[in-house]
Amino acid sequence: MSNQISMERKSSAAKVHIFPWERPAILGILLLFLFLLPWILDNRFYLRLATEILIYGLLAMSLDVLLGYTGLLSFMHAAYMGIGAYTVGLYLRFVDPTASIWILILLGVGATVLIAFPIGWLQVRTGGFAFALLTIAFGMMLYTIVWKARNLTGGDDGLIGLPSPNANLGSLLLASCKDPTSIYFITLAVVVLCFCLTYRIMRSPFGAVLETIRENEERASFIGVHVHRYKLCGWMLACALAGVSGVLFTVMKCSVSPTVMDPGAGGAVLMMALLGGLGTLWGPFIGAAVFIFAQDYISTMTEHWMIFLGLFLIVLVLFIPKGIAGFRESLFPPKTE
Amino acid sequence: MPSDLTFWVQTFINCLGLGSLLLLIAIGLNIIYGINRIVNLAHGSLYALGAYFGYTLVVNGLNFFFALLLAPILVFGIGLILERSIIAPIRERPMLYTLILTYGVSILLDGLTKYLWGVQPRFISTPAFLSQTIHLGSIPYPFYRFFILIVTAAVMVALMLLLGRTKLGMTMRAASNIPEMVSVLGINMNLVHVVVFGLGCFLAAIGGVIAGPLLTVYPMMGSEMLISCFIVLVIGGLGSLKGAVIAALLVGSVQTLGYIFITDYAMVVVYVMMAIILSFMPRGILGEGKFE
Amino acid sequence: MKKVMFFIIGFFVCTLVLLPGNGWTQDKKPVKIGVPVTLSGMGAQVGVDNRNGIMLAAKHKKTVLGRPIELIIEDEEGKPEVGVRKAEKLVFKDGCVAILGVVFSNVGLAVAGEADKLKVPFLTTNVMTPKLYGINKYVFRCGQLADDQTAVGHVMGIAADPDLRKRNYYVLADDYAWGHSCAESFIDLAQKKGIKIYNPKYDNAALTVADWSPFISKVSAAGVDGMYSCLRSPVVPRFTKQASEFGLMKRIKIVAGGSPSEADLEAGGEAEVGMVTVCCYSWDIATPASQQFAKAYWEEFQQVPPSQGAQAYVGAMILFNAIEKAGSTDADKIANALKGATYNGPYGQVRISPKDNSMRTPAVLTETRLAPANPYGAKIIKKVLVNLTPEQLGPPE
Repeated sequence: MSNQISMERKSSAAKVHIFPWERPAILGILLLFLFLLPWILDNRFYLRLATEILIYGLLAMSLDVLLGYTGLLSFMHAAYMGIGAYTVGLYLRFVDPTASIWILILLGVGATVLIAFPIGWLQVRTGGFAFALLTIAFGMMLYTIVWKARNLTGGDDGLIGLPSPNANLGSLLLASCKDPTSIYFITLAVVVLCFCLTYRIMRSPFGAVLETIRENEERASFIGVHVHRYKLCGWMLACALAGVSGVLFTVMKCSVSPTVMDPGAGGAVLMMALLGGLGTLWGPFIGAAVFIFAQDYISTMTEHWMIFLGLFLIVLVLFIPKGIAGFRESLFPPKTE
Repeated sequence: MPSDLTFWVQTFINCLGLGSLLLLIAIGLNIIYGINRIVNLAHGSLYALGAYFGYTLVVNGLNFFFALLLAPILVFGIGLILERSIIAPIRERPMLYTLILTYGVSILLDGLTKYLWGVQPRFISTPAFLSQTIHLGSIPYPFYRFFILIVTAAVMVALMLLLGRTKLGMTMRAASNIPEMVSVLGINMNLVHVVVFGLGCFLAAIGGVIAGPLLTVYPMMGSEMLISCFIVLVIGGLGSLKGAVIAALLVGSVQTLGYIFITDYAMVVVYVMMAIILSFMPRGILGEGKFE
Repeated sequence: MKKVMFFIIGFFVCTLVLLPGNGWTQDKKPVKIGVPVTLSGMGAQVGVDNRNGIMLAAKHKKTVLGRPIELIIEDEEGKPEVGVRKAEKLVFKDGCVAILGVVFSNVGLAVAGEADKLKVPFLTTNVMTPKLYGINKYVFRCGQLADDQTAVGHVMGIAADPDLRKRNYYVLADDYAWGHSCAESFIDLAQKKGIKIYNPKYDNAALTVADWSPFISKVSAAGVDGMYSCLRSPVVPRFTKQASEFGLMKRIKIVAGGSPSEADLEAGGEAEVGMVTVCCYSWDIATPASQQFAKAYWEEFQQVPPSQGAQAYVGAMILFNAIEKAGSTDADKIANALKGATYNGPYGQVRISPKDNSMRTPAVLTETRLAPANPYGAKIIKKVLVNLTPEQLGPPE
């Protein structure tokens, strides 16, 4: 029995384009919309929600890199967001409250990558379901450590009242994170940057190898690919991106607690990625938006929101398995020969 | 470090008791995976549902032992409906989809139980002779925990007889090894799948009714138990009955002793154990796939 | 082509539609109070009790500043970031003039940390952590006793009773912030008063422990005759039931640092008898105000009147009265009115101290007993043994 989570083959038929300037036009409109959002929304709560959606979208995208491209399932990917978030929190609390945001991003990514490496090394030697269960084991270990180290991390009280870092270029103050609009723009900038970077990487030969491994690990090794090495790289990239999302999280919330990396969070980010559609990189952002919005909206409407969420997921798997990103494919099915 | 006999005898039986409870609850999940190759993340919620049904039946006057039979039958029925309606359509698809689907089912069931029964913890009251304290010499011990051991043993024996001696059992074992051959022989695989899934749910519910008087019936009982079930199955090897027995006893003992000697980090030890075994023996202690 | 444009336009339309609506007319606009409580997960029962108490208060008070009171109830799931998000929604989207409620200490601290950005008064009816004292000019506490007050009450109760005084106490705490805080406050004070503590480093039990047999065996082996439990309310009946099956309950007396709620006591039944605990309110209190409250609660919710329900009721009333006294919905004015505010309610006069924005309240030391015939169908009653005054409970001002 194949020890692998196999994915349905992405349709190799060319993506249907209605007219040649469709893609850039959509992108342009989208970017403009996102840029103008603070003025469209003019309400602090919604702006914060949008920022949160961007952050979780980044996390879901990192899971897409892991699952949609490399074919490795993780149930507790939020643990790596937690590492990034706590690193920043601890640094701001204990080392330097005036640190600039760029240092924090470097630190967050560095710490996440440092911790993810040995764990990844152990994990990629297995695959499929064993890998997924190992992510639970290690994720729970990380969660428990954060919870137990009360003197450092505050336990389940977490770190609160953290200072807002500034974004400086040299001595020029770009933005101060005290202001929700500034935080939004910084988050937007970092997220767009990460997206473009990841997009380029996935479109490169490296990305193609990852997809080959995802489709069939055995065959990939037959053609001479160092499967473990590539899986480890895919894992590291996914964790690094998760670390960035963690940094942005702490910067936005000015507080961090273990619930960002608990099993519920791990399950939620998986749902976001699946909802939005794997293998597209931009799908998870939509998934994050829908999930966060829906959960917030439904839990306001009724205290029995779990019933609706469960039904939603069931309907999703039965009728729109490719997620929202795949919805387009079902609207414009590729022409068959 | 306590050294008296009472403590060690109690601890020994505690380990056995927790291990057998874990086994009872995990075995249904194991069967569904072993034969249907479906990872049923809703197993915890079905276990909780069994407990809630048991509670309602007992509270309305039904004898505990009848409830022990009736509640699992009800959950068996629900399992049949679930299998036919939503699980069968995605059986051919990659495992990822079953995971999300059963995850959705578990959220749905948890929400429904919270809606129907509220958030208060409930106790299932048992007949007096079950909840008494018996004395082994001078050592007091709850009789109910022995009862759990007895029920688990009975269930395991029944399962072994089912698998080893009956035609259905033979079909099930064959289906776990070579499904294609079984359908070639003219046996309706759909029927086998449905029955097996229902059986798994039935066993989960028995676990629920048994655990109810001991652990109380409360909304989060399903998700907390599910993690323990997975640990047991992963360590023992998914699909291996004998492995499950060994693993359940191992996990039960480690957890019990852990809580006594290192209280804080007991669960971490269990996770580390799971990680080590998975990393170096990904098929579990006794190997996966052999359903015997 | 049409389908693509349709989707793009549809996406924008959806976003715009979900934007906040614009204001209503000013007069007779209700005064909105945001109530984030835990309605799912492990604190759900306590959240329900809080919510019910607050709802009852709103029903009795009816209007404030001549305008109807509107409670907007949210589920903060016991998670700090959800709590903060809900608080922001309540203030920035719904336009609430105050935040009332919140169950867990970590959520309370997180929301308190945002108080300067939220700029509305935040009165918690349940957060017990001592870290909340004087944390912010907008943050107040009135409801459940704080951890240090609880410790004082229990130590006083133990010291006053000759049987309790001579016992050796084994301390068991839930492994999370409240459990630690509860245990540490008690052990500190108890040792100063010469009460015997078996394990000053106290034992922790992970939140997921369902089978208590290892701990029960440990307590048995320790040979102690008393136990101070810092276990949260839903877990207490489970522990006592399992312990009674081991025959442990005959030998030890439990002092419950985490006062079990009435609903949980009812679930546990007879095994819950004999626990000593301190709380602000028990329906055993014989005053007319107390009985009136109990009756009203029973009529409204058909549940045994819980301590936490009464505590939340008092907190809500103090907030409503403060808004009335402030004469406006301005945050600073309400905050000023809350300092030193008093309310005479089901268990006596409660006052918010201007020194640390936290309440000074009377309390009762109770023991769980089998209830006499009562209109609530309750099997267990928290029988009042000793009345404690606000001065005794402290903290000193």
